[in-house]
Order: sequence, then C-alpha cells, then structure tokens
Amino acid sequence: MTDEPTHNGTATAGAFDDDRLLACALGIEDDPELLEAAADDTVLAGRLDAMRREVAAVEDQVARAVPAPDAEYVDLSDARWSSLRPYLEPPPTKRRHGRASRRLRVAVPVAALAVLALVAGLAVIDRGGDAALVDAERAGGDAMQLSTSAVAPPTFAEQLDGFAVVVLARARAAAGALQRFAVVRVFKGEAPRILRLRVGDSPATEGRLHLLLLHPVAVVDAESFGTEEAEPPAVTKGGDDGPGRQLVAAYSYEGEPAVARELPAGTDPQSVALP
Amino acid sequence: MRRILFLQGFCEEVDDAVQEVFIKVYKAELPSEQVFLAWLYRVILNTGRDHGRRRKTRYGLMDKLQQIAPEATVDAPSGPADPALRNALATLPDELRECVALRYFADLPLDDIATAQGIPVGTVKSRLHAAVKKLRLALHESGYDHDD
Repeated sequence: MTDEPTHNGTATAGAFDDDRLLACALGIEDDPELLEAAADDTVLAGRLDAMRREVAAVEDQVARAVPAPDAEYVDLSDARWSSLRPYLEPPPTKRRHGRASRRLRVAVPVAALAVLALVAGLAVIDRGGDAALVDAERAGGDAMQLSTSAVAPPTFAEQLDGFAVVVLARARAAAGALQRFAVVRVFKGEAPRILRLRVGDSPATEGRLHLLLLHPVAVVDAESFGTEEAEPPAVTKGGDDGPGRQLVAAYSYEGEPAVARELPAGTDPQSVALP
Repeated sequence: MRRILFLQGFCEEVDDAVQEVFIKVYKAELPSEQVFLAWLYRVILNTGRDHGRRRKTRYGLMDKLQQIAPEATVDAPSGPADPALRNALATLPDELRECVALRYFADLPLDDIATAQGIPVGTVKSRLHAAVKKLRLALHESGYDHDD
C-alpha cells in the first residue's frame, strides 16, 4: 500500500477505479477483492454504494424512456393485431403420429401463450375463472412455471428441493418493477452478493430479511404441457411449514419464477435454519 | 418484446414488428425449454434488425424518444426519463442498446443475452459496461445527484 494520497484521500482508490466499481455494481464481475476492501474502507464502501445507486438510477431512467402500451393493447380483437387473426383461430384437428409431431402439438400452444403474453406486455391469464393481470415478464415466468407445476412440492423441504439456489437476503428499495436483495447467507447453490428480482408492483418490504428460492430445477417434458393438470399456479405453492411467510406475488429472477419468503422483523440471520 | 423493439428504433410500426415475431415463433420449430427464452429474444432482435434494413431509412430514434417524452410514459415508474439519458440512449450503438434492452427489459442473464445476440459472454459484459457507463455519464452531465 502506498502513502501517496489519491483524489479522494484513500490509498485504495487507485486500485479500485470507477470502471471496476461499475462492473461490480452491474453484477457482471464478481470482485471479492473489491468487496473485501470495501468492508475495511468506509470511503470505498461509500463509493461502491453510490455506484450501485447510480446503476439503479440508470435502470430506472431506461424504463421510463420507453412508452407504456395503451389500455387497448391487450385487446387481441383490435385492428392492430389483424395479422395475427389466422394464427389465433383454433387449428384444425389432424391426428398425426410420432413423437416429434406430438411434441409440437403440445408445445406450440404453450409457446404461443408465452409469446402472446410477451406481445401484449400485459396478459390475462385465466386461473379457474379468476382473470389475473400479469406483466410481460411475469407472464414469461408463468410460462416457465409450466415446467415446474407438475412437481410443485407441498412441504417446505420439498419446495427447497425444487430450486437450485436458496439464499437469505435483505430487501433494498425497489426501483420500478425491479428490486435488489443483498445476500446475507447462501444455503444452497451459488449466488452473487446482490440479486435483482423482478417484483412487478408488489415489492418486498425494504430492509426485511427474505428467504429467496431461485432457479427452479424441475423440468417436465413437452407431453405434460398438454394435460389439463399442467395449469400453472400463480406462484409455487407449499412450504407452509417453512420459516416466515411466502409472498403471494409472482416474482422472477433472470427470467425464471422465484419464491420469496418474508421473515419476521428483527430476525437474526444466523438463527435461520433450513431442513 | 415491444419495449425491446421500440429501443431498436420502432415507434408507430412496432405493432407490426411484434406480430411478425409472433408469426415467426408460431411457424418455427421450437427449441428446448432450456434455450427457449434466449432463442425467442434472438428472434425478436433479428426481426428488429431486418425491419431496420428493409425500411432503408431508419426512423430517428432520438426524435422518437423525444416525441414520446412526458405524456406517453404515464405508466412508467414515475415520470418521464431525463432528457439527457434519452439522448444518450438514442445515440448508443445498436448493439449496446440491444444489450441494455435485453438486460433491463427482458431481465435476461448474461449467458442468455450472449446467446440472443450471438456473441461471447465477455462481449456482453463489455457492452453492458460501456452502455451503462455512457448512460451514467449522461445522468451526471444533466445534474443527477445520487443523494437526492
């Protein structure tokens, strides 16, 4: 370490320039050296925190730069979707044999549903007669849930088995439809220090510890998609015997459905134990 | 999808592009679930690029972003984007802007962005870094204060 002062008065500033801080704040580089240094250097920690806020501000501004769709956007009978009409008609039933055709027959409607949801930006998904509005990303997450619903675990332990990553993380302030979580403990798998979940308009309580279940691992083959039993739940149900309470909003992480369980205020992170 | 296509330079004709994506996906042989999202976004990007080439004269994205400024963003987080950031966003190279769109609108992980854009993950990182750096500087130049 040198005694030569740097522009902000810390000896570590030279080694950790803004580009490096930006890479860390963006989550594109794991930088344990930087994080360790920030833990011992309040000035560096402040710079890193400021950089994270700036990245969040950029993200927020980018979201604002693109206009939202009008209220009629989800109306597929609207003239603007005229090109889609032939594709929205029920296809003629044509019995074909073979695994490939069978896979296509069940996968195409599922894909069409996912794409329609993405097309609309907002999609209405009828779950047992109750129409629920979900945003495009959430709809994409629901489509992914088709692959997990058939093995939705009823208990918390089984619920845990359905996810590759389980972490304890503290919720930060939401920025638009996104919310960051600072990882406190990793119970399973690997996770970056900061997670960015899409929370829609139902952000988790800022400052509260949450158990996050990420990256669902169960996959069902295409043939299961066509069955009526494959109707996806709003979120992965179950885990009533687990710590805290499961948030009912549909969250997603990196395009996949995620489960968040809010722990009571004042929970000691070290006291949280999983089966 | 719509927002990604918008950032690729579409405005009035964005609905046509959205429909074209749907039809392509409908007719395509679907990939496995594991790569479906990356594949879908690749279709979206390619559709946007094809439209740009076909139209010959691209719409000026900066003009479009300016036109839609306050009133069209009523459902955005809260209020319109900073004009300096809109300008910076509009003048980003296409490949950087696509990267930002895939990250922030599609929420894709880096490797899926790489698959969608057909580039190595390292290039995604450098593009994302360069793009956000430019946008961040634009915010600073417009007087953004992170302590606000």
